[in-house]
Amino acid sequence: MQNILISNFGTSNDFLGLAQLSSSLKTQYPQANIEVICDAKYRTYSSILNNVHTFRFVEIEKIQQVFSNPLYSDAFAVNYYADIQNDMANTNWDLVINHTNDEISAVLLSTFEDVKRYGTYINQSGLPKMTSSWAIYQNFVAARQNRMSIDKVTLRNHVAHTPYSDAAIKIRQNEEYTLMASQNFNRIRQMNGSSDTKIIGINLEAGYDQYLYSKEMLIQLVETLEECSDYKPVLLLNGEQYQKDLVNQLNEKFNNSLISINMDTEALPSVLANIDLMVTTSNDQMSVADMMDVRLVVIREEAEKFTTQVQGQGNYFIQVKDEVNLGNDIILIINEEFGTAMPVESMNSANPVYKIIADQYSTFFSQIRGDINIKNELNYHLERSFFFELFGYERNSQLLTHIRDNTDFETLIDYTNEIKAELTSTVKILLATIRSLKNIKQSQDGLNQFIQYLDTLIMAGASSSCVGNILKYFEGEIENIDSDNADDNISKIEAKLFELKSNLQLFTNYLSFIVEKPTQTSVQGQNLTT
Amino acid sequence: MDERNSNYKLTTARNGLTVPVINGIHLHSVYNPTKEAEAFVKGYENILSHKKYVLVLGLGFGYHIEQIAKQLNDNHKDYQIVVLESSKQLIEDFNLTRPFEDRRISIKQANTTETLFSDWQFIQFLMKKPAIIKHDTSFSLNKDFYTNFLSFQASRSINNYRSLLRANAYKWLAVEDREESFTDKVELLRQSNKQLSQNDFHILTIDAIRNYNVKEA
Repeated sequence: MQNILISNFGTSNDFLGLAQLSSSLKTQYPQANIEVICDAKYRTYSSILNNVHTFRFVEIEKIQQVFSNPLYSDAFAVNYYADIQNDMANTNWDLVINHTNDEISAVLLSTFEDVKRYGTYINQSGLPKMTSSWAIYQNFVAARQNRMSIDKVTLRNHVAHTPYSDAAIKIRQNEEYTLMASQNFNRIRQMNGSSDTKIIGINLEAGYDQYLYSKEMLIQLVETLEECSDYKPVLLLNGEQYQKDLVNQLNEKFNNSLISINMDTEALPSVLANIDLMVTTSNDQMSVADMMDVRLVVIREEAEKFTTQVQGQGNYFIQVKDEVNLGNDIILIINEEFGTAMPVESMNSANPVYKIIADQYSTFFSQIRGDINIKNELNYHLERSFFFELFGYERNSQLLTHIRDNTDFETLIDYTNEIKAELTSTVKILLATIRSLKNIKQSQDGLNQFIQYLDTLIMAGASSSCVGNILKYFEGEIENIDSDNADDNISKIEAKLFELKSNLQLFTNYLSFIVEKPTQTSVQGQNLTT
Repeated sequence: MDERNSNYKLTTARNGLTVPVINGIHLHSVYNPTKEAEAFVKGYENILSHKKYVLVLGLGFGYHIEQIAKQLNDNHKDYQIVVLESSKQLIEDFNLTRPFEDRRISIKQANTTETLFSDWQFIQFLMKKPAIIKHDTSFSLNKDFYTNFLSFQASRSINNYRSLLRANAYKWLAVEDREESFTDKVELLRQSNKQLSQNDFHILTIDAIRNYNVKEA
């Protein structure tokens, strides 16, 4: 591979995620020239991303402004893009990747002729075409999930056919700032009389969900940390007025004794390199810290959509439903991490706390405390393992055994009965669909009946359960068939129907296994780690 | 100002500064153009403290523009003034007599509004949403030109802006229907059963950019 172009038109978090993919690509193809085409609004972050040689920025806002303003001719918007295209045409691309599975990237990939493409692109009939099973899963399953069972980084790396790698440095640090930050943080550590003092960063930037922890929680956290000589809390800001106001309020409470650090984008990695643990909402600083292997406690308000972009092994994620006990949850985590015994006022927090753990597949969220929705957790773990197995990995028997041996038997029975009922009705429709295949060639009615069954089958995929997601994946596979020949299409659909049958059987085996032989009785709410 | 029919000359104000006279109308005070300009800018102090980009309609002989620049300089680290003027003669005389020393001021000359809106640089300046300040005397002398400018609407028909297109963009947007707009072109592509070409994909990419909207979850 000489020239690789990554198309990235997602969120700021997606943009920062380029560091993950580009470092893996750099490891796989050390000599490759890696370029990125992306939205110009993330320009400031480009300076800290390693392993990307050139960024081709598209001023999306400018193009949209030209189109929407009646004063300006559309010609200028078209010309703006034409100039970018002219420039890109000067390079012989070997590979183009739709990194963010977005619409711009999908059509942009289609503008390249005779170039290898990875991800979703648009075919000549105007329909989405996925280049692999992973890309189908990304487009038809992951994109519709409230909680992604396969993490975004792993999924995107698989779509790009590049094994996830930590070998290359992902985030670039400014040497001058790093030296300065290191000296400053040494002084901060020495304030408690020891160079072993742990620096606990408290990031005051609001989350993507606009969540920001309360002043009361911050006071409790800072007070507890200040009273323990093992720690020094440092407030981290990026210049926003609400953050300055919060620092002022906290300083009022702590007699102006608090340390606060303002970090702009360039200084951010240098500061983060000196933080032992950062308490943060889910935001861009979190993503950068995550890629620098800073230990994180990420906080988000509880929502139906379980979204967090934190990925690093050993990090924590707290969903806030009980604001009062949030401080206790954080202190407990810090105690566990560093082996200290700071006082925890209450152990009755309802906040679900997850730890990020790695297995043979990738990292995943394992709930370690708080209110548990056992059905959701079982769905998450079983589905994740199922799809990895489906895509060629070995079965995670350890996980299945752990679930079987450590979950309340009655709970498992209730869960499997519910899923099996869904499986039974799905299999009935599936078998009827397969049977109706025989009549296709005999009459138009036969064809109509087959289409009706197929539609009903796909409609059953609306459910958010594992069965629903297996059906969504099947739907993606069917949509990805693009033969011009009707007979060929039918035989491909038939093959996919039999594949679906065997996939549902595979999942049935999972369910049978977890209720097969309970070796002990355990309580509901046990964690599901391997 | 229609230069073919106008009566144009330069005179000297009482304080020695040059003042153009068009069809018998003095563009500035015949006594003290500087003082007049200072008073003129006072009315825009508030807006100039907020906006650092200014479009001035009418060059006159630049006195009011220098005062605007002075006001901007007091409020902003950097600023930009573009002066819109249709009279070539006036611009030539101005540049010979007392050109702007401040490089952040530029004069944009055009005979028609269409020409102005064919200039990408000028459009990029307008996209910065500049404050628009009228030099009243210049404005009333050339009311049609400035009114056309202020009420301009670009044609959406591809055929009408074809001459503005880059060579590759020209190729992508080939149309038969004279009135077809970019939006029509996209709609037709979406409805058509024909196999999409590379040119079509370029159009669809531009359309995807046009409709792009992503929010952090």
